[in-house]
Amino acid sequence: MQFRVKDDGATVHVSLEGQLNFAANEDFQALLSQLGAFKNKKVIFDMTALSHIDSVGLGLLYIAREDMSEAGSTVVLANPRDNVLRMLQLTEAHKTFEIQR
Amino acid sequence: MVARTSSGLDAVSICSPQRPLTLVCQGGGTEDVGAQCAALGLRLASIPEGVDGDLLLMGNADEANVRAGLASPYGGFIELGVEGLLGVGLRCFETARAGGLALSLKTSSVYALSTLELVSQAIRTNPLLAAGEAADFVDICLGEAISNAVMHGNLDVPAHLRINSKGFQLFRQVMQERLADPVLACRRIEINVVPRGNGYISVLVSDQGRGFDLAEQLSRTVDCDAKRGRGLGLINRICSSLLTEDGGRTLVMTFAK
Repeated sequence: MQFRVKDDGATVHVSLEGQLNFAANEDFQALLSQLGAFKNKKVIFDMTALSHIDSVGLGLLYIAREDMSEAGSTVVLANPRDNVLRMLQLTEAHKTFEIQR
Repeated sequence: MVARTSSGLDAVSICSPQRPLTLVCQGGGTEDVGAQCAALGLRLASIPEGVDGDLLLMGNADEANVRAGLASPYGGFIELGVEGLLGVGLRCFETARAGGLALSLKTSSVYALSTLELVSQAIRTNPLLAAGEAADFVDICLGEAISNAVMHGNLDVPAHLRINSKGFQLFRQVMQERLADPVLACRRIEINVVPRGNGYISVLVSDQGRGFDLAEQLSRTVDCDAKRGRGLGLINRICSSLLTEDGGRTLVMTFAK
């Protein structure tokens, strides 16, 4: 997985690319470290270029959300591809995340 | 080169004697590999041209080799280990003979390559296996099964670590340590995709870990915001049939195409 973080003031855009799965641990840790600098922001995870997510990757998003929430930030999952959206639906992620299509 | 027994006769396969199966290995493979092939009733060749019967590609596990092995004229790819075919499951050879796709990789290779993507594309472009509208669901289940086989099967990393960011740090550390352990990193993950007829395909994911109890795992409930423990339940909801073989080391997932 690759990612890019862009700070737009009140909003932080995080573009995710590739596969967010069991092999993305190190990259996701680097992402968590970067996001740790932000407080009271709206953090948008842009999933346009995310080709696959598994339950491990989803678990990482839940961990990120928990950390962000403690820093007063909210998390939005945006623009998931059909197969990624299907995974989000199957796991009822909408109960925890705001999902924008 | 065709492997022959000392009597000069073609070796008889212990898997299925009807159709010859040839392992294609660039450079022809070592003497040891030749002996292993002969013992298993497999032929060995250095190029696919002019070989009759079914073919498996064997060699170093880079992306190009795996992609080539998962496409025509091959029925799969076998990563060659330092000890040749040692540890490769016989199921891979049966799969190739049944017109399916077989993949046998070391754990370290599964981790390093885009394994799911490679297998997913191969299934989608194989006329016997393509699952049509169900393809996304096959991908989801295959991804979950590979992830479980690597993390909890071969690397034996406990799932309970991933409950918060501190646990995730420890989880990462344990994963790195175990991937650096040559014994664990060389354990194999095998993926066999088999046509079942009547519009079904089975996807089998095998590891060489301690195995698990499917019924016990499925009986555990998870919260909607759980950070772990969702994979098997998800697979069970999607598949037409789910069972384990080999003492819980092989997950057999069957899908309607």
